[in-house]
Amino acid sequence: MSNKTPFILILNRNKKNIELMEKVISPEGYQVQGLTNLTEFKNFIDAQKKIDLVLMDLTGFDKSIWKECENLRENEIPFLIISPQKHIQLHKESIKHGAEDFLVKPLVVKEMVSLINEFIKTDN
Amino acid sequence: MGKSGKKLSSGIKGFDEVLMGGFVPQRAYLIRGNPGTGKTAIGMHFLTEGVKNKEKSLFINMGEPTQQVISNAQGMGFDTKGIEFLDLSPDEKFFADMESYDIFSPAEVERESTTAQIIEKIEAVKPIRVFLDPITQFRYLSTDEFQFRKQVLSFLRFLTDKGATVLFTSEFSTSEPDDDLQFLCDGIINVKFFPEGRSIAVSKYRGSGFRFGSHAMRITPKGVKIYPRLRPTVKEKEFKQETISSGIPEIDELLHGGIERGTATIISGPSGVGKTTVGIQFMKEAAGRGEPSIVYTFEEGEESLINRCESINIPVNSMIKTGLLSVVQVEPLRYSPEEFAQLVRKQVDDKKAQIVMIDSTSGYKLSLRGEDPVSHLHALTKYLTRMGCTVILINEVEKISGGLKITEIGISYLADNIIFLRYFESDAELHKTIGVLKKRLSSFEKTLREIEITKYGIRVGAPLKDIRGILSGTPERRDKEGME
Repeated sequence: MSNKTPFILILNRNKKNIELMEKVISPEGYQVQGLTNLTEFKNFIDAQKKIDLVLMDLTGFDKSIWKECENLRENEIPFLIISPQKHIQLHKESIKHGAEDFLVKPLVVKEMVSLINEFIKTDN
Repeated sequence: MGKSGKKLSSGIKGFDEVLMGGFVPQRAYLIRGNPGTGKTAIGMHFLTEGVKNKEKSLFINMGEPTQQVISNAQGMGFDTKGIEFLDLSPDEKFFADMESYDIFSPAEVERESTTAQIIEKIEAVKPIRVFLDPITQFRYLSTDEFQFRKQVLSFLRFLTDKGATVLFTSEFSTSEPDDDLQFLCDGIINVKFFPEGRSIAVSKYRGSGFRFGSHAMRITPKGVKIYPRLRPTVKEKEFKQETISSGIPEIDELLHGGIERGTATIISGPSGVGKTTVGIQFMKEAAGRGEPSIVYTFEEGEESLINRCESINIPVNSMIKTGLLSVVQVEPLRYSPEEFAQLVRKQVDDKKAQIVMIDSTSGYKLSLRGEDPVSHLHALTKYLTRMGCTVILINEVEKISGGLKITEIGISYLADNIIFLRYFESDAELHKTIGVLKKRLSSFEKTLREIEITKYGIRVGAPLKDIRGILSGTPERRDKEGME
């Protein structure tokens, strides 16, 4: 596995966000794919066998997103939740549904990248 | 060009004088000031001077778009041709894009592109002079104060390492102080705006001396003008130590020969007693020797002064015609003390004047804008006397008689010589008297003499020996028995 480029999936309503994230994550040696809606996301998970990490931004999604979280947990795909604000309830909910961590926007580029690196490394 | 330690001219003559030649190259200087004080204009001078010297000059505009900067500069008469621009001002797209991402802080996203643009431009232009307006914009590209400081420092370092001398401006307010910036630059230039006018002061200048204090600054249609505060020690001229005569034998007797060249004399007295006339008398005599003089009149009009002198047999018209006398009428509130000092300095140089008269000190004090004109008068007087000029200060006292007081504004310490004129009453008639109170370089007659101003000129009598109490204003005749 280690010789294959790790794959990171981004779920984000905002295209510009995806673009920026790709720009900073790809150079670290990852393959990145971004999606903006849940249906696409669901189909993608079902079709793709190997996903190393998922970055989910809660912004703009409703409760149905938790179902997708459960789905990821069942498939043993680690995921990080990104939240527009510091919110205890959301934080609890995220951990309950299997999130590895709960991040609050705006993210600091360096911190995000090193967190991703950390995850992928320990995962492998 | 920039290297080799030769200072870079600021493009403003007076400012170079304050900076003792200009900016030390490859350093970064902070120009601080509130909006509208003229920071950008100083920067434009710096850049256009660069273009003139064939030094690459770069304007990094972070506030206004290039087009606006250029049109503003042209409005002030600057030729922006030859200046390179790097436009980092926010464009209209910024507004539309603002909502478009929130994953990272704009500070992180924007900075990268900003930095890249700057590096690219610097590498391409290789500027000797850089003007960055305003650097405070960087604050919004940093996540915190520490980051900001680090970024600015490394940015300035980058520019100076590439050979540039950098001027950058900051906008500050109490809520957003710029103390941090003051620590990281090599020099600080403070520009202030007062109701009386603008002033400029250097408060830090690494690697060079500078002229301390605040200097007058004026924005004219021809750009910024800076009038450095006159300092007496700038240069000294060798001159002959000699006394100059007043041309009236009795006054010379009072003064034991006259007043010395290169001294300051206060002629003090109440209104109408003849102070100006006595002063002009010295100039008349100087004109006879072929020495030019200048009178700065603050109260009286030029015409009235000329007519008055002509009517008492002082031929000012022909003195003016031969260039041996200049009468300069100073309009109230037109100049700051620094500007006035520069004006005097220039005219004295141009005309090679030997006697300068300021008529009067209270007029000077009232007419010049700004703070503390008296200390400027001190500096100006000292400067002139060291240049060998004889300075006459006319000082009006309000009391007509009695209560002997030399000056109203506490300037008697300025004078080497003090001549005073007073009224006294005798047999219901008003008389005038002249005496000497102080003379630093020689002895003087301690008596008082009567002085009259007639159509034939000044007439001074013998010492008033049999009258006492003249200075009280109500003298009495001394009887023989009363005498010692």
